[in-house]
Amino acid sequence: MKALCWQGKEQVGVETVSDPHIINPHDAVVRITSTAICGSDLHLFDGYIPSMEQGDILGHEFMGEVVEIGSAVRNLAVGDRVVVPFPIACGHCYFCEHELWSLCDNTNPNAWMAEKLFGYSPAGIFGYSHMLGGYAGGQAQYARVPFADIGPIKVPERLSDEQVLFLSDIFPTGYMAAENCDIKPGDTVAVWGCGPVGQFAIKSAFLLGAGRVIAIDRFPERLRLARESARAETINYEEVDDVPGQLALMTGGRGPDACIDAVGMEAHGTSLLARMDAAKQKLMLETGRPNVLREAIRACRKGGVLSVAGVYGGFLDTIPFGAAFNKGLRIATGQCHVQRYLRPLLDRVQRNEIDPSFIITHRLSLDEAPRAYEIFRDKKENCVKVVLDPWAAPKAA
Amino acid sequence: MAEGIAAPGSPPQSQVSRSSQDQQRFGIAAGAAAAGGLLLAGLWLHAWPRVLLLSAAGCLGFRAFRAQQRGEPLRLWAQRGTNIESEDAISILRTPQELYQSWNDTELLRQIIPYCRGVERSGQRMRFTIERPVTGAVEMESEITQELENRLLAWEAVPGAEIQSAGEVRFEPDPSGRGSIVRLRLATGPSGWLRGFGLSAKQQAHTELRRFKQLMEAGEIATIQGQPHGQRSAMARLERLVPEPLGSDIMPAEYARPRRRGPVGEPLERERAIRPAREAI
Repeated sequence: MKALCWQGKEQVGVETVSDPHIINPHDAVVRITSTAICGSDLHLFDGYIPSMEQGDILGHEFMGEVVEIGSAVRNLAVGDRVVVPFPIACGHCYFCEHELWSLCDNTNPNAWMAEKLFGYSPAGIFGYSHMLGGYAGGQAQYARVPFADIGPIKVPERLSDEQVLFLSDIFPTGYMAAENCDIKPGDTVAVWGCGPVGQFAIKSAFLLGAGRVIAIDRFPERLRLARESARAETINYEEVDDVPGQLALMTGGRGPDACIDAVGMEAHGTSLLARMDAAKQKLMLETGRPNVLREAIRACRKGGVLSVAGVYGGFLDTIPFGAAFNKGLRIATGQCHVQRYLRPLLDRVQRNEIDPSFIITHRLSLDEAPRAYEIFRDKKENCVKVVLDPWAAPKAA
Repeated sequence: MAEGIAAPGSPPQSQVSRSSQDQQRFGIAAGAAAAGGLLLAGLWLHAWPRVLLLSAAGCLGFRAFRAQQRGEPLRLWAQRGTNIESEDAISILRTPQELYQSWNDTELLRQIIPYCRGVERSGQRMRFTIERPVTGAVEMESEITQELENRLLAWEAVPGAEIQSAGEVRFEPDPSGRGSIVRLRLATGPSGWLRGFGLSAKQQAHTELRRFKQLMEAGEIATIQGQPHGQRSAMARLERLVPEPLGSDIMPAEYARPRRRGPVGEPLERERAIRPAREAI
C-alpha cells in the first residue's frame, strides 16, 4: 500500500510499504477512505516531538471501511463504515472506565519511554512518535486499528466522509477545550489560534452557551472564517500592541471568563519573550514556544479557567505561574478523550447543528501530501485544513 | 515488604563496627581525592585523554558520593555474588484471586515474561525457556519456596542453575477498592541481566508487571511488532536486530466478561464486585 512516512525533520514522503494485518485479537484493519493532516502533525514535521524514527507512518485523523477483524472483535463486521478516534484505548482500565480515554493505561507498548519524561504514560496514539506507542498512522491506504472493539464508531451512510471525518480528532478536541471552560450562559471566551481546533472550539463555546467568543490569530483568512462561520469577534495580534491589554479593553477591564490555547508548542508572537523562545528552540534549549500560554494566563480574569488544547511535548521556560496562582485560575489540559464525545457529536452532526466540513480548504490526493504539509505549515494558499484521498490518482501538475 | 527474599549468595548482614566505619570514611575520602586529581589532570590535558580522564573523574566522584550518601564502603566494581534486587508495583482492576490464578497459569505466565518461549511446571519445580535476543536460548529452573493461596508466590533458582535468580510476587487488595496491587521483587546475580533476560532486574520487573496488567485488564498485550513502516535508517535497522518482546496470543480464560462502563463519578460495577471479595481475605 501507499503510506506517508516521516523521513526526518521537515521531510515526509509517500512510500510503498507492506499492507497491515491483524496482530492482536482485538485488532481490525480499515481501508481508509479519507484522512486529514492535523496541526499537531506539524510538530512532528518540524521535528519537535522526540522519538520519531525514519519510516514511521504518519496520520491520526482517518476513517474508512473495516476489511478484516480480529478474533475478539464482536461489535464490528467487515464492511462497516467507521471513524477511528486518535487515542487508542483498551476500554477496561481505571482511566477508560472513568472516560479518560486518552490516558488509557494499557495501549502504549513503549510506556517506559513516556514514563521517563512524564512520570506515567498516556494512551498510545496513531502515528505520533514511539514515545506514544509507535503505532503506524492513517495517512495511508490501510491501517491496523488496535482495540477496534472500543474506539471506532459506525457512521450512517447518508453522512459524507467530510461531515464525519473530523470526529476522529479536531472536532472533539475543540469541543473538549470549550467544555473544560465550564461555560455559564453569557460567558466570554477567548480563543488563541483560529486553525481547525480553534474554529471548532469557537463553535463549541457558542453551542455550550457562551455569550461572546473572541478569537486571536494573525492570518486574515482564518480570522474571517472565525467571524463569518463561527460569528466570533477577532483580534489580529500583529495589529495590536498587547493581546491581554486588548482583551481587557474589550471586556471592560475584567478579562475573559475562560481562555483556550488552541495553538500549542509552536506559537508565534511579537513580544520579546516570543523572540527569545524562537532563539532558544533553535539552540535546542527549549522544546516549546509557549507564548500563547503566557498571554492566556495573563489575560484570563481572576478565578477564570485556562483550557489548553494545543499540544505540548517537553519543557517550557518563563511561564508566569505566579499570575496563574495569584489569580486562582483553574487549568484544564490534555489530549482529547475522543471516545467520550463520538456519539454526542455525531448526533449533533446528524441533527444538522453543525457541519464540520466548513473548515476544509484543500482536497488532495495522498501523493500530494508532502506538498500539503508545506502549504499547511506555511499557511500558503489560504490553507486551513487538508483532507487527503488515499485512493485518488495524483493530479497532473 | 516484611521479610526479604532469600536471594542466592547474599552477604550476611552484620553490625558495622567503629573501626570499619573509619575505614569506610577513609576509602570514600581517598576516592574523592583521586577523582579530584583526575579532574585536574583532565583539565590540563587536551582532546581524547581529557575526555577519558574527565569521564573517569566523573564516575569515581559519583561512586564516592553515592557511597557516602548510602553509608556504604566505596567499591569500584560490583562484588562477585552481590545481588541486584529490584521491587516494583502495579495496580490492576482484578481481584487478588483472579490475578493469583492467572499468574499460576503457565500459558499466561509465558506471555507475561518477555522473550519467554515456554513454561512447564511439575510439582514445585518450574522450568522456563527464554529466547534471549542476542545470546540465544537459555533454560532456567526454579523451585517454588513459598506459596500462600491468592496472596503470595516466591521462588528461587535451583542449586547449580546457570542463572542465579530469585523472586517474589504478592497480590494485595487495593485499599482504595480499585482491584489489586501486585508487587514483584526480583533478584539476580550481577551478570544475571546479561546471561538471563537481557534486561536488568528493574526493567524485568517493570516489564513483567506491565504486560501482566495489559493481559488482565485489556485482554491482550499491546504491541507494534509486525506492523508496516517505511524505509528505516541504517541506525534503526541495527537497533531492530534486537527484536522487541512479542504481544499476546492467548487471552485469560475468564476474559469473556461483560463490558463494564459506568458513568463518571459513580462506583463501578467491577469495584462493587471487588469490595466483598477484599473483605473475605
